[in-house]
Amino acid sequence: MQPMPKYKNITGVITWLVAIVTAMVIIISPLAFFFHSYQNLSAMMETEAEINAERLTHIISSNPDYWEFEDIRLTEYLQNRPKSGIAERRRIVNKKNIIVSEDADALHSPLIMRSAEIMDSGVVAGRLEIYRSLRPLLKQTGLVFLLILPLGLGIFFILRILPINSLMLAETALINTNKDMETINNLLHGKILECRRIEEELYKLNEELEARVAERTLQLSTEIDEHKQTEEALRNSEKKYRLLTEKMFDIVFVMNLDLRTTYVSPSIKAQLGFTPEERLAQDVHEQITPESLAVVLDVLAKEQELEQQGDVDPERNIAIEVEYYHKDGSTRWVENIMSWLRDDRGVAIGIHGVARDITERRQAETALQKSEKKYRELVDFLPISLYEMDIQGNIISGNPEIFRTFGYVQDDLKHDLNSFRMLISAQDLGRAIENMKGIITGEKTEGTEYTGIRKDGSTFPFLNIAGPIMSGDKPVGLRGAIIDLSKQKQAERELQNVREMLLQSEKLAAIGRLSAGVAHEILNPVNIISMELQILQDMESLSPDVQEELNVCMGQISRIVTITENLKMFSRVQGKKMIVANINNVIDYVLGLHATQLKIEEIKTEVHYRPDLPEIVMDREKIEEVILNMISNAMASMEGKEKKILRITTDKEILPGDRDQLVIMIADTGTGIKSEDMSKIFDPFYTTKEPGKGTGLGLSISYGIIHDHDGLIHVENNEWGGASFYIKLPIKTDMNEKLSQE
Amino acid sequence: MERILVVDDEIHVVRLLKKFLTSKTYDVYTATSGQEALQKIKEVNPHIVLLDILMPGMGGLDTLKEIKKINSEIPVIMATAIVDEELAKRAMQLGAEDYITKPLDLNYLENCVLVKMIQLLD
Repeated sequence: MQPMPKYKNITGVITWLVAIVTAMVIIISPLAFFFHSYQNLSAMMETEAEINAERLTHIISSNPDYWEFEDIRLTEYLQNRPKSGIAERRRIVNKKNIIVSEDADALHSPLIMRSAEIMDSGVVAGRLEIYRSLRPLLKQTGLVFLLILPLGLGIFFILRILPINSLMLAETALINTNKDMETINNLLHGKILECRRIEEELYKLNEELEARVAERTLQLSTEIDEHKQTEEALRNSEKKYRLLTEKMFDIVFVMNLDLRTTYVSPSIKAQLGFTPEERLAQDVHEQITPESLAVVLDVLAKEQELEQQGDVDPERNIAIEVEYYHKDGSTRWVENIMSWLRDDRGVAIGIHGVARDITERRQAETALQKSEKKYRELVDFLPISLYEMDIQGNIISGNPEIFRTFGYVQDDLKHDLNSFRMLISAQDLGRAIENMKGIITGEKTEGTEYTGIRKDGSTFPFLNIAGPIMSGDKPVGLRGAIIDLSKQKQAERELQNVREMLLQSEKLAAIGRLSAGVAHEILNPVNIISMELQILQDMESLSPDVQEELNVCMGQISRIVTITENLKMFSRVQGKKMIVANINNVIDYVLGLHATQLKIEEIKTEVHYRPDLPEIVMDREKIEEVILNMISNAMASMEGKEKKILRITTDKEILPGDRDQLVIMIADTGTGIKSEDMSKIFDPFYTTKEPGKGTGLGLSISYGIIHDHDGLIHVENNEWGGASFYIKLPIKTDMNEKLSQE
Repeated sequence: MERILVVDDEIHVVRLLKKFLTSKTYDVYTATSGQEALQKIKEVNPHIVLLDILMPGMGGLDTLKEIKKINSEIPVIMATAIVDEELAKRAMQLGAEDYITKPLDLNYLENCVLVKMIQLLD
């Protein structure tokens, strides 16, 4: 099962094998090189020795006796060798091993020596010895060894690692397979154990069963005897009852313990349609519905249990309501009053009872339940919050709507939601408690408004209508309905806003009518004064001073005229000249008129037109007047300010129901509008300018004009410290479409 | 002398216009109601009539219609409050020669009358 040792063995073997191979490569290669080179060297030296010995032989033969003394010539000869650059030692030795001549370079051991014999007429005369150092060869061999070493190591690693790697892979695969096998094995093992256990259990059960069967067989034989006896007793009892029951309306019946009817009074015919004979032939399943049978069996089982405990009145009655089948297929609810039928020893041998049809009562009950259910559903369905609470103010129940209204769920009743105090704001609580007391003591109320608190802490107004819950003469709680007033309040607020707007329009209209009259009345005397002054001015005898004063008077007259003209505009008798125009062009035109003035006052303009705006139907002159008014106001409000920027933008606001509108914003960096002035800003004659600088009519006239276009105008203070006027005009492109006010 | 009939319910207006136009060498007749104006026209046959639009009783427009019935040739210059230019335009449709607005600019008035006179003389 454990693969590791094998694996290690193989690795060891491989390592050893490879090590041997590697060692052989590393050692044999330099050795081979050495031997080869050594052979070469020695052969070369031998040849050289022989050649030189041959030559020396010649020299010796020319002077056989004294060659040994010609050491100078010989040394010369020895010196005279091919310049191979290899250090050598050459010496000539005679027969007595005495060095005759020598030429020696310095040589490092170890040395190799090769010699050849020098002959003199066929007799050995001496020896030529050539020595060389083996050190260069050893060095080369060493070099070869060094070169071969990395190669050898490389071979070692490749040869070792490759097989081991594949071995490891195989190993891993094997281990995995092994694990799987093991798991399966374990499972199988478990199953086998289980099978054995079950087998054992089965065996045990079988034994038990056999024991029980034997026991039961014995029991049965005694029971059969008893049964015969009880049947006998039963038949006797029946006889007595029969006489008594023949004439009764209620059904009297007797059943044995198997619920088989053994007697039934003839009154069954009237109530259930069956004759007594038919009844006796019926099984209990044919008599009562399965649901009722279950109830009956359950009750009887309990009764039998009580019976065994013994501690009960043997004459007691058992009342069960049972649904019987009528012969016509319908069912009848019947109330059975039953008691045990006993033999002489008091042992229950059957049941006897009286049955009475209660179908009508049952139907009435069902109808009541249905009606209650309907009522409950209705209450749940109502969009009005309903609740009940006890006299302490603890909430007992509520319909889904009340939980929805206050942001709770029904389950909260069981947890943290208990008192009504959690649902009413603190400042209303005292009032609410007072009112509750009143209601409980029978005071009638029309309903009271409170501020409610939702689970999330938000508040809302609601109307509470409540009455007492009475138990007899005593009040036990409160029952009521709650109506969420937030939508209503919202609507009221909106209505209020509309009213205010309407009031503003009406105010302006009334002022318009008034001012038209005033304008006329003023103009007449002004006309006369004006003429008087002109006549005076024409007089030649006037001093320049007086002329000057008269000019001032004339100036004031034109002021009055301007005011009356403005006043007149409220009555708006002038006809409208409706045309289709692009608002961007209108603004551009008005800005053009003011270009010089803006430059003089050093006001920068930032204008952003939305390019794709549709052309709309408008009284172009009037709209120009409004824009002009706005720009004039903006310029006036920026007087003396360091930063003067007039911002104008046009845009389109998309609204549902074809109510898209143009939005024009004209903003300045002036002083803004004080909150107390906000509500009065569109009122006629209201001005913040110095006396003589403005009539205070510009904005109210503008308001009137925009209103006539079914538009809106309002003002806000902006982030730059000044005011922003917003004009909204409905997008009407059809000339024939009438504007609201003609 | 060119005759001018000045009609206005305001006595001061009538007086001042008479004073002014007389100083400009016109022969000025006056009337303070529509009826009186019609009578004066029949009497003096003025070259030009200066007629106020807003008058109690017979208004300027009605008077204008009546004048046109008597003599459609007489040029009538309507005088109207500056705030009632619409009315003046209606008067023009009814045959008025021109209109001037109140408060009256006397120089303008003089020029206006002068131009009409020259046209008449042509």
